[in-house]
Amino acid sequence: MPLPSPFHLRIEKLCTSFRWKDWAGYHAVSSFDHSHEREYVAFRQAAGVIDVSPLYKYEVRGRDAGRFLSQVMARDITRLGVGRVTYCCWCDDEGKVVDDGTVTRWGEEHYRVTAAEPSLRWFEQGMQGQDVTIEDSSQRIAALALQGPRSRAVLADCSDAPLDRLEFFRATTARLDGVEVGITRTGYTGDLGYEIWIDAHDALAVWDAVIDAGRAHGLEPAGLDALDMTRIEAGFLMLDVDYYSAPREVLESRKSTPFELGLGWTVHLERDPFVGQAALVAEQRRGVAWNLVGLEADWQELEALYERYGMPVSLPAAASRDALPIYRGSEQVGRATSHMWSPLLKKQIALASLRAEAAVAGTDLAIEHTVEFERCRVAVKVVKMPFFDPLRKRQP
Amino acid sequence: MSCDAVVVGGGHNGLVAAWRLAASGRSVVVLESRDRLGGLAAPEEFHPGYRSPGILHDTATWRGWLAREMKLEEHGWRSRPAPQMTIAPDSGSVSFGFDGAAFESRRAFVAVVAPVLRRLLDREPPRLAGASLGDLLALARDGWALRRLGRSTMTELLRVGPMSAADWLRESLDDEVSIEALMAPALIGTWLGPHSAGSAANLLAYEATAGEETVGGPGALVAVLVAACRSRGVDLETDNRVEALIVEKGAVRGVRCAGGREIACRQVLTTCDPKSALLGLVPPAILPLKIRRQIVNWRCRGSVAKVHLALDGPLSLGGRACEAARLGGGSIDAMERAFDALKYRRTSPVPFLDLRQPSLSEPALAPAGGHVLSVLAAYVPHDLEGGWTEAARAALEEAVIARIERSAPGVRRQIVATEVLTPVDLEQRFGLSGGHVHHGEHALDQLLFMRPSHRLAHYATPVLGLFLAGSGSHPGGGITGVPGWLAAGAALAQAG
Repeated sequence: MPLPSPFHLRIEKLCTSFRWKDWAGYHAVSSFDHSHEREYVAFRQAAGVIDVSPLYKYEVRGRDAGRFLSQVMARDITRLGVGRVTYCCWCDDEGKVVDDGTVTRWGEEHYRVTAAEPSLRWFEQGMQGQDVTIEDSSQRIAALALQGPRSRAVLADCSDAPLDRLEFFRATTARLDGVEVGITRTGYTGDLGYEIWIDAHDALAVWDAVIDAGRAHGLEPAGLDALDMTRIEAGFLMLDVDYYSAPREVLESRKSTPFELGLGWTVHLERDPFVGQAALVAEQRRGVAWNLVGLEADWQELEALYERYGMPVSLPAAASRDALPIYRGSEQVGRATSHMWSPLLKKQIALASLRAEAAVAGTDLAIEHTVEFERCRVAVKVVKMPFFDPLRKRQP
Repeated sequence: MSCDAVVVGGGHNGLVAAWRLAASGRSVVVLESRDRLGGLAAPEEFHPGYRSPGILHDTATWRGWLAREMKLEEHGWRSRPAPQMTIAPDSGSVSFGFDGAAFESRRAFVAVVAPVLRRLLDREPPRLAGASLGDLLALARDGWALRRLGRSTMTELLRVGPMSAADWLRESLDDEVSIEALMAPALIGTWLGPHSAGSAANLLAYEATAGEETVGGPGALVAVLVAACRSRGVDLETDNRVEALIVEKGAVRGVRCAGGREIACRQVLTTCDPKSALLGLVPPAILPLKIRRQIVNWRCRGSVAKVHLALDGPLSLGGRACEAARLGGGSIDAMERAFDALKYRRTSPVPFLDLRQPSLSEPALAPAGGHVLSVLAAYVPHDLEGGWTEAARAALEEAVIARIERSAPGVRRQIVATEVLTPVDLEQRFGLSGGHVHHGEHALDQLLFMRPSHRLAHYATPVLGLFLAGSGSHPGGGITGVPGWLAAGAALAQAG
């Protein structure tokens, strides 16, 4: 049985659809209504708030905390200043990605790491005679993601956070309805947005304050279905969907390096030793075999395809995680791992892992598309990601 | 300062390794953190005028062939038959040595299989993964040696290995007092009881390799090794603790000592236990996590304490001055109960004692007329429930003395001074992880090509130029000299 999250007493009353799922052992809402569309639209046009407490959270403290994190992460965390957040991944000895998440430096000797999977043991095995402690704060700290163009206005109405000065990927502490919280300008929607980090005991008070303040701004509580769509538009990867955690996989073909996942920009190779360094240096020298890219389907062709069956184009309203083969000519060159119709962009888009030679922007490929139980193909083009990248995301 | 190789740790394995490297023309520096060479084999004054023979007092497994290879006789090494063993149950009679037809037939079996076992224990362990043609040939030769034992002996050997020592000995012996005493060397320094599977393998290994003792005990052996090293130009430094390895691009570049002094070298042979070496000396994030994980899981739960007693006269058992004795509870059950305590982090109520009175043959260890008792006491946990308080220490001392007194009434009045070294003391004094005198438990999954991990079993490590030369490597702990010798061989092969 999944556990109730710290916000459960409020959320269960709102979840009229009873569409629950298990997220990391917690009850999580797929969509509050029978359809997730209203929540998706809120994320993109107003603001949505989603309970992200099930994220795994780790407090890394001590004089050597930054040095330690740099040893287990592919990114050099020693460069991260106080009050800043960074996105990074961590790898095994062979440079294959274990998990990804954010690191926030809350204090001189205090970092918080988020992860999709339980990672305490993984981090601890890298500890050695250093002044570092790791606390699994997953249960102690509740988290809300407040995302969307009106998110700043909502937060301004319920907290004293200096939002005009809080730049993209920065962190601050603030009082929200009298409660001390941490606020980071981060999120999984690729839009203007914040994540609020709260002592679990204060969770309900913060929820009430945010919902109250949101009434004037069109704020909607949102579930994971809507979040899944926004994260694909933002070009964000999801563990167990777009890639797999290397230590849990047996087949080498299921493991990926950061370069193969398009996360090369998060890797700092030239520095003191870190886990996977030698393998990643070698990979960079010999060239990357795979690349994670965005694909856009050719609408004319999609329409023509359905036309052949005497149908209008009919695409599912939700994002799909059923992987689809990608072809160049008759040869399969990869797979699309997440795909969806983007109501915002009016495009059928996908995240795909392709062989490097096919992963060049502008390349014409084909994706499998099933119509009336028949497997067909539709033209797709490799495009630059993210699909959706509004200016307001980074604007002061 | 620079040299070809640094040996970290001046115990017997370190000295052997240093000698072998120097004998091949390498410039070698041995760095010992303590004030004396010899490690667990170093005699030490524990009361004015009284010296212990060393933490490990049994030199019977020191290899004669090593003494010949190293020409130790030129430096005064001599051997003698192991002293007669006195065995005593918890109360009552005392007997001398082992006898009986059943005992003889078992000894005959051990004598037949011993050459095959020695073959296995005195060379690099078989290489299973990534074996070269040479490795396969060696493996085939080992297999052939085994096969040549004859079908019944071979089958018997394969049958006995995974057995428990108690089950195996009970097949041929009825006298539980003898069984208990015979098992001792297989169980001391392990986390096994008489009924634990695999303890028979330890017993076989001990019996196959135990031979004559070094005259003068561990101290004399260390003195000879030091002299042999000096004659080869080895630079021996005491009071010099290595704090870290200097590693660049995955290869050893030297060592940094306490105080900041650095010594440049291309090879480092460490005789520290695997945890201290790989999790302590190697800088963070250099070893693959896979190997770190194996070393973190390396079992080295100390299970013996060392007690030294200064006596004003000789200890006599059964009317004879006793050189070596094994004193326990007098039955297999008693020993199993002693082990039970260890499992629950307690000290055995009736400890099992492996006792030596080295001052009988080496009077210099004590003032005139005085004697020294050297006692390995099992089972004594490292992580004692409630911690090693003064009271817990006093209770251990009392349990040991009480056990001796039951076989030697009046011994208490002879005691001038005592020294009790719990596993925690051993850890602190010698830097032994878990206070484990063998640097890691002797268990079926921690021996041969799995000591200390299948990725490290051939002395080399993923850090180019770093070798594991201590008891945490094949063939394991005790005063044998073999890990040091074989590690030096691996280092020479890599450099050559």
